[in-house]
Amino acid sequence: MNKSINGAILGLVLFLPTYCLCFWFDRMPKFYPLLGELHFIAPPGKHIAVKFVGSALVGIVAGLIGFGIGRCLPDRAGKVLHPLVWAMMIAAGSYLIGRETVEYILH
Amino acid sequence: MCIFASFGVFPTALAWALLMVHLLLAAFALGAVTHHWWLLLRRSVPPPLLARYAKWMAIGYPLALLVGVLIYPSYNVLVRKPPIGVLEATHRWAVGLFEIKEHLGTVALVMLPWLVLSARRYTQLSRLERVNYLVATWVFTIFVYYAFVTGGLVTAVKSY
Repeated sequence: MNKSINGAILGLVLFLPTYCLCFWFDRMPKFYPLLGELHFIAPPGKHIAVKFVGSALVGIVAGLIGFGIGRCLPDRAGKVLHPLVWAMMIAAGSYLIGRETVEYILH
Repeated sequence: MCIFASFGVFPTALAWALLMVHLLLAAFALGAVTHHWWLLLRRSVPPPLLARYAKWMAIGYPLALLVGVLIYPSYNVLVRKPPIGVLEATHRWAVGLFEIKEHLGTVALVMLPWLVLSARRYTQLSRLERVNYLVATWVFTIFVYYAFVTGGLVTAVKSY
């Protein structure tokens, strides 16, 4: 098993729930002005948040931490990480696709 | 209605120009992704070629995504959301497909280090790592194709 690959996989494993939780709780940092909010004159104070960029950045920070941790794990950790990443992918994919399908496509 | 302090929203002409750059970079990334996937399907994989296509994939895909992120506020304001955009009111299903594209595109970006590292060390991979690398390549390729097709679809819907 390769430590760098373990790191990349653990990064993905930590990224997925972090990204999903940002959407679940509707909490993400606002990177005004380019990536966060767009201000309209009317109605006053109305904001449009670019959610996915903020969530992706939070998730990527978690992913980088995961990458660092993953590189320090013993080689045999790969045997756990490989099935775990697919479980996370299926769970996160179902949530994200389901969320948008219910909100936009079936609405 | 007027927008102010919306630094990320470009004028329509510039947004179209950036959209064309986004398209060209996406086509480049799609080529690299397809070649990488095709090489893995072959029985005898030449590792240097695999690493080369993975490298082009690692360059092209984030660049295409970065330009996409730059024009995203313009899409949100000028195309999608009221009061200026109409897509959410007229073609809500297209907005849904586009939202899914954003999610899959972001997940694909985070999958990229896994694929690039596996391609570079292909000869050293264990059986478990090879199988997962192959599956991850399929998933990544499907995500990128979905993003490309949906991006084109939403542009077509918006244009006509």
